[in-house]
Amino acid sequence: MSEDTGAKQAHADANRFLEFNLGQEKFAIPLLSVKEVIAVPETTKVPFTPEYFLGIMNLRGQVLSVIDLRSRMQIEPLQEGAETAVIIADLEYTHLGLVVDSINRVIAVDEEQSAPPPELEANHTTEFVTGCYRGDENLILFIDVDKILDSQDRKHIEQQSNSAEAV
Amino acid sequence: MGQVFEKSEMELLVETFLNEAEEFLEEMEAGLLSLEECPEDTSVVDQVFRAAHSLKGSSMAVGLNQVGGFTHEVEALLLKVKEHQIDVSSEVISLLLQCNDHVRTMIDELKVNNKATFESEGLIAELKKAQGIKGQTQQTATPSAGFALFDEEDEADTKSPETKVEAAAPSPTEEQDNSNTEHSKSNANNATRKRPPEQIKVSQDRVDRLVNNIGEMAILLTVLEEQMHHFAGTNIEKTVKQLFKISKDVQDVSVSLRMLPVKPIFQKMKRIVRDTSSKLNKKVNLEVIGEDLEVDKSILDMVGDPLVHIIRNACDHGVELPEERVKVGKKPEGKVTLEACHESGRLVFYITDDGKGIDAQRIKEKALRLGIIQANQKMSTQELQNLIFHPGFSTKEAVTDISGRGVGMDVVWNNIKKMSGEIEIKSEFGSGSRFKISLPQTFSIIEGTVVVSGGERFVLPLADIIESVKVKDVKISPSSALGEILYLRGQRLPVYRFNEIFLTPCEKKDDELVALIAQFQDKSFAVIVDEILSRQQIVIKSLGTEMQGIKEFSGSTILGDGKPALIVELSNLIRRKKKPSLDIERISA
Repeated sequence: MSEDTGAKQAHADANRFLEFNLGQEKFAIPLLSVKEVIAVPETTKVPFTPEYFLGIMNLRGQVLSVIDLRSRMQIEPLQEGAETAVIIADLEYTHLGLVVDSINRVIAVDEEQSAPPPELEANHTTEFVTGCYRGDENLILFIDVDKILDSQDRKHIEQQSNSAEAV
Repeated sequence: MGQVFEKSEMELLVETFLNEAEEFLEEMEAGLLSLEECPEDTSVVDQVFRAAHSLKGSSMAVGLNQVGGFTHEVEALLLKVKEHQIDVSSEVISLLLQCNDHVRTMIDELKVNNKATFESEGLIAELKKAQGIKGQTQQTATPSAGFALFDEEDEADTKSPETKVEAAAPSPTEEQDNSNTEHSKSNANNATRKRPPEQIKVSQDRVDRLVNNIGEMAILLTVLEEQMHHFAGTNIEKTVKQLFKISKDVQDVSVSLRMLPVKPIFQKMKRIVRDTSSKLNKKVNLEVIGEDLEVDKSILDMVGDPLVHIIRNACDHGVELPEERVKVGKKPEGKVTLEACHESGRLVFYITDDGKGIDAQRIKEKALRLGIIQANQKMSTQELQNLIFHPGFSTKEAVTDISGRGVGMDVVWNNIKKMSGEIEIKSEFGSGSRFKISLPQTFSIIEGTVVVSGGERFVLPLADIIESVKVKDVKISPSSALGEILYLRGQRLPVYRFNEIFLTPCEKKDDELVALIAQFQDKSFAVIVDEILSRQQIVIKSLGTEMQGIKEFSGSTILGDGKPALIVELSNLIRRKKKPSLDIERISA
């Protein structure tokens, strides 16, 4: 599948991505930022949050926020089914559950196989797309999980974490 | 992820040192403060010297030469004190405390920026002056002189106090303390330092994880117990019951892992009293009671600020100047007592001073002037005294360096509310005041009321709720200008409906709803929910950082069925309610 099988393990890990579907579209996030994948859990709605914020869930005693990545990307979801899954992503300052339509596979990506995303008009809302994969006829977009949240939210989180550390 | 692996060994060593340094600094500070009380206590001098010595040694060892060089000078002065070449004067103590602060600043800064540089020349010059050395003649302790320093240190080591201390009368009845910062105030003879029980340093992360998992286990067991009636009389029932018992035990132990003595905070207070009173030319003695009491770490982290505020206030506003005190027949030295204890299942701090107390009349006048109360408002002395917690209230006429900007006390109030605590003041004009802070034993578990609104469950901290009434038993009148008003025993309370605030449909008729009466800062109001489910112990789970901006919820919990529920911060939630707006279009517009 790829030529880097002989490369060092660490190197290989860094180049591996988890591919998943949102609607008919394919996306991938670095495998290193995936903590685990679980079935869609029961969530509790949180008032005053945007639509894509599905609510909070109980992951073995830890309360995590769950985001519907499909509505975050404004993609029409497939029918909710056995394939719908939640990726628990390990972000810099927090853990997030991301609802996706299906988990496809793990892909190893060589540098020459990835390309920067096609240039659009300056658009901050798509800054989380870091590149796309050319090794396949399908378009696969790479996502920076840390940038999925709104930039204001992220700033807030960073401040929170910094002040928490200062205490 | 992976951060740990990116650090070199040296960086890890530095990090360890920086964390340990705090202990040395605390030990030094504690020693210096008690040395001031009994200057002839040689064991305390030894203790301080030892701490300074360790600090110097280990800072040099990890290559923090700035800290090492500076502490070397401190140590040199301490050596002179130890060898009775210099008397323990108040100036010397002040200087040494200042140096302690300086080292602490360096350590704190180094934690954030390991390449920070510091200006220590001024203090070094003073240290030398105190030693009786003229600045120029002494060669400066440059970092490169590291080895030379170590040599000197070895010399000092030969006269090391350790043997002396151990030989000193072993009096096992003394000091039950397990902390190594302890020192005997009473006299030099019982300077036995009890060897503390073996300790393991564990990161808070790991403890939290353990506590979390155990909490989860407890929840699962509750679920199991709910289904136990299916298995009545079977072996399974017996086993589950035993499991339950053990789990309770494990839970208790896990909670105790997060418990720390309040001593370090009390230590800090000693320092604050000393600094504040000397700045104000007052003489104040601080007596501490119950410094070995163990408190949940998260409470310990939060209670410090309110205590500092109150203690500073006691020194500034409470205790009078020595002349004034003598005039009214008091001892010239003021006395502030800080006590920690358990009272009816809660953690209580008392801060008592024998100062001039609070003049309710003056508070009333000021409150009237500030428009906080109305002229015809009837208030008890107690209520008037509690006005000092009102935002923007301060009776001290001049703004001082220490307190009096009118921000102190309402910060105290807010901080304590945040901890689901209570604060009250009792004061007798002329003879002193007593603050009582009462807090839950731990933040991780609170008593809560589980309510339902719009099909979702929410938790309200029990401490917020005064009572609950059925809506059908009270009268609610709508008002287009004020919103709804609920009448309860002659009180008129504004009404906040959860359904309206959360924009959720309410399937029930008004008659079936429940009103909870809550109180915040002497304002009462009613919140209306669909129903009350239960009153229970709530294990608090923090929300992710991405949700910290949502002030309406202070946290979450996991209910018996495993689903999370939000814990409501009522005082913030009610601000969400749309206020009736009667703004009208201008006729002339």
